Amino acid sequence: MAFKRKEATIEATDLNTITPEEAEKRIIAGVKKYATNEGNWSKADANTPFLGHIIGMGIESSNLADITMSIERQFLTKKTKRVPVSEGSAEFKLEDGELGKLRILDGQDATAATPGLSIKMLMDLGHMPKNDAYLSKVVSFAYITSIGEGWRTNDALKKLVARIEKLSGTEKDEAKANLKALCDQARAYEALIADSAAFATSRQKIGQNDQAAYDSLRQELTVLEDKIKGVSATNDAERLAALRAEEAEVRTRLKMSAQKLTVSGTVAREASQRTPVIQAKIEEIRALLRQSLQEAERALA
Amino acid sequence: MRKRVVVTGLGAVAPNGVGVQAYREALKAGKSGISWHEELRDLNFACQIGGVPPIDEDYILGILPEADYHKMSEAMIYAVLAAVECAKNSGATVDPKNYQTSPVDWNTGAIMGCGIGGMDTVFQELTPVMAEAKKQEPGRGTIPMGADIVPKVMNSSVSVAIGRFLGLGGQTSSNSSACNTGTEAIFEAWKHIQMGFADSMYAGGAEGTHYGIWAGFDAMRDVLCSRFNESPEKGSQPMGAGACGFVPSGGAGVLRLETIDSAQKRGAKIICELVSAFCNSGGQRDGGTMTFPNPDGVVRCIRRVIEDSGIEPSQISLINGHLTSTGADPREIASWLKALELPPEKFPRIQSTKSMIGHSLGAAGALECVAAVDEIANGYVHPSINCDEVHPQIAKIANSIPRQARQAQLDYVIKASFGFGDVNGCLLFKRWDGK
Repeated sequence: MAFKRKEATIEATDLNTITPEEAEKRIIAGVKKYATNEGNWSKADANTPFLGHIIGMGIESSNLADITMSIERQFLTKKTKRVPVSEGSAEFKLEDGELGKLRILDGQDATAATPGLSIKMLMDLGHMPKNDAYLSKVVSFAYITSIGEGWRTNDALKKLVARIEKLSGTEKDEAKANLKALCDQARAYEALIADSAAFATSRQKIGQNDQAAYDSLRQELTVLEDKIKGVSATNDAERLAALRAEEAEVRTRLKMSAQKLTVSGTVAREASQRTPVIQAKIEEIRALLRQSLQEAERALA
Repeated sequence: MRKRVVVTGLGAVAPNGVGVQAYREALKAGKSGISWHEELRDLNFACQIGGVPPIDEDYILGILPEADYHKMSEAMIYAVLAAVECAKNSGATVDPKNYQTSPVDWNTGAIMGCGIGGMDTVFQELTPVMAEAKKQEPGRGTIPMGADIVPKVMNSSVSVAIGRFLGLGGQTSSNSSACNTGTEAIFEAWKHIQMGFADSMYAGGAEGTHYGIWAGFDAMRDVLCSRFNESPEKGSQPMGAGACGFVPSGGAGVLRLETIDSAQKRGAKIICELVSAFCNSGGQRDGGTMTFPNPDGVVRCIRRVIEDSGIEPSQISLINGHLTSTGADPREIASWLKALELPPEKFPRIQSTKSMIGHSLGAAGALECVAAVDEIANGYVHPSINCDEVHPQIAKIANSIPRQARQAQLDYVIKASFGFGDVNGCLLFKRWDGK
C-alpha cells in the first residue's frame, strides 16, 4: 500500500522543569514540518519569525494554528483548571490544577510571532516561570513586525532595481517612477525607525485609535443591553428580537476589535522599549536599506 | 489552422519503476509491479493485490522539502515527482528543494487529473479527528486535523502541487473523468495549446494507492481480480483467458506538450508529435451505462482521431489499449476492429501496459501515454504479459499481441482510455522525424 509516513512520538515536558532555551529548541524543532524555507528554518533562533518569506521560516499563515497545536503537544503545565472568566460567562480562563496538557486559549497566541515570543506568551500566561535574562534577548512583537516591514521594503527595492536594468522605453520610465515612490517610502521608514521617540509615538497613536474604537463599541453594547432590559419588561417580542440581533452584531464587532487591539496595544506598549538586541536588528536593516537606496539612486540617475 | 504540438518531456512514477528510465527497463523486461498486501488481507478484501510505486519517505525527502511533503497527499507527491522529472528532461531548470526562488513561467500551465484524490488524507487525518470531535471543547472539534486538509483533498490538489513546484503561470487545473482522466488531461492540454492560451502545458494524471480508493471497486462483484492473491504478478491479464478483474494500482505520469515553435525556440529535444486527440461520451445509451461503454461511442472516438490526423488506419504501428483485464477486453477489441476497419491479419500490434502496472485509475492513461511515447522515441514495443493464453473471443487478433519486447520503428501509436460514466478518450502520437 501507500508509503508509510513516519510518525514522530512527542513526549510532552513539564514547562516548569525546563529552561527557556530548551523550550525554544523544542518549539523550533516542532515547527520544522511547516517550514518551507529550509535555509531559514535551519538557522532559526528565538527571533526568527514563523511567517515571512524573506526572513521568516517560510511558514504559511494558514499553518499558524498548527504551530500553536505543535507547542501545545510538546508541553505540560499546571494551569489546567478551567474556570469561567466571570460568573455565568461562557468564556473561561485556566488556573492552577493537576499537571496536564498545555492549552493555548483563543487569541492568546495573537502576538506569538517567533519562538522567543511564544516562550514569552507561556511566561506571561503563567505556564512557566518568568525569566528576564531570557526575555532580554527576545525582540518584542512591535519590533518583529516593524523590522519585517523594513525587510520587505528592502526586498522590493532590490527587485525593482534589478528589473529596471532589463527594461527600456516607456516601461522603464514607469518602473523608475515606481522606484522613486518606493525610495521615498524606504527613506521615511528608515527615518522613523531610527528615531525611537517618533516611532513610539506613531505606534501609540495607532494603539490609541484602536482603543477608542473598542471603547466606543463597548459603550454601544452597554446602551443596547440597557434597552434590552427595558424592552424585556414590555413583552414586545418583535422589538426584543430586533435588539437581540443588533446586540449579536455588536458583540461580533467587539470581538474583532478586541483582537485588533491586542495586537496594536501590544505594539504601542512595546514601541518605546529598545533593548540592545532590538537596536542591533534595527541597525542591521537600516544599513541594508541605505545600501539599497544607493543602488536605487544609481538606477534612477 | 491547427498548431503542431509536440512532446518534449516525460515523467513517470509507476508500480514497476520510478523514473522514466526505470519504467522503460521494467516495461521492456516484462516486469510486473503487482504485489500482495497484508493490509488488504487484514481488511478482508477479496482482491488483496495491487500496484504501488516502490518509493519510501526517505526517497521523497531526498527530492522534496519536508514541509511540502507534509502538505501533500499521496497522489500529489506522485504528481510532483513525475512533473519534476518531466520538467527536467524537457530542458527546464527545476530545483524542487528551492522551488520558491524560481520565476513564474507565464507561458506554461498544467492539466493534471486525479480519479479519486486525497483518500489517504480523508482516512488518516480527517476521519479520526471527526470521530473524536464530539469530545472536544466547543469550537475545537475540527482543530486537531490541522490546517492542510483542504489543499490535500480538493479536486485540484494534484495540478496546483505541480504549479507550486514548477512556478506555472498558465492555467493550472485538474480534470476528472474516472479511468479516462490521464488521457483526457492530455487532450485538454493539447486543446488549450491549440486555442493559443499557452505555448506549453504539463499534462497527465495521478492516483494514490490507499485502500479507501480500492474498497469501492472491491465491493463490486468481479470488478477487481480476486483469484490471484497467491500469485499477484499473474493477476493482471488483459486479453488473457484467465482475466478475472482488474488489479488496482497508483502512480503518476506526466507529459510536457508544447507548440513546435516553442520547443524549437527553447532548443528542447522533441520526443514525438501529438497529432490528434479527442474525447467523447457514449451518452450511457445503447449498451453504455455508468460502468460500461457504449461501443458506438468508443468507435466514434477512435475514428474521429484517425480522421483528424489524415492518416489511414493501416499506418498505425501500435495500439496501446485501455484493456484492463476484465470482461470488457473482448468488447474493446471488437470496437478497435470496427473503428479501424482492418481485417484481423492486418490488425496493428496491440498491447496493454496494465498487464505490468495494473490499473492506476486516474493515472492510467497518462502512464500508458508515457509508455507509448517512450516506445516511439526508443523504437521498441513492450510485451503484454500474462497473455500466453488469449481470451477465446479475441483469438483472431492473437498474433497482434506482443508477448516479448521487440525493437521496432513505430510511426504512429494510438492510445485510448475509457472510464466510468461512459466516457472515452483517444490520442494519436507520431514519431518525430525532424520535420
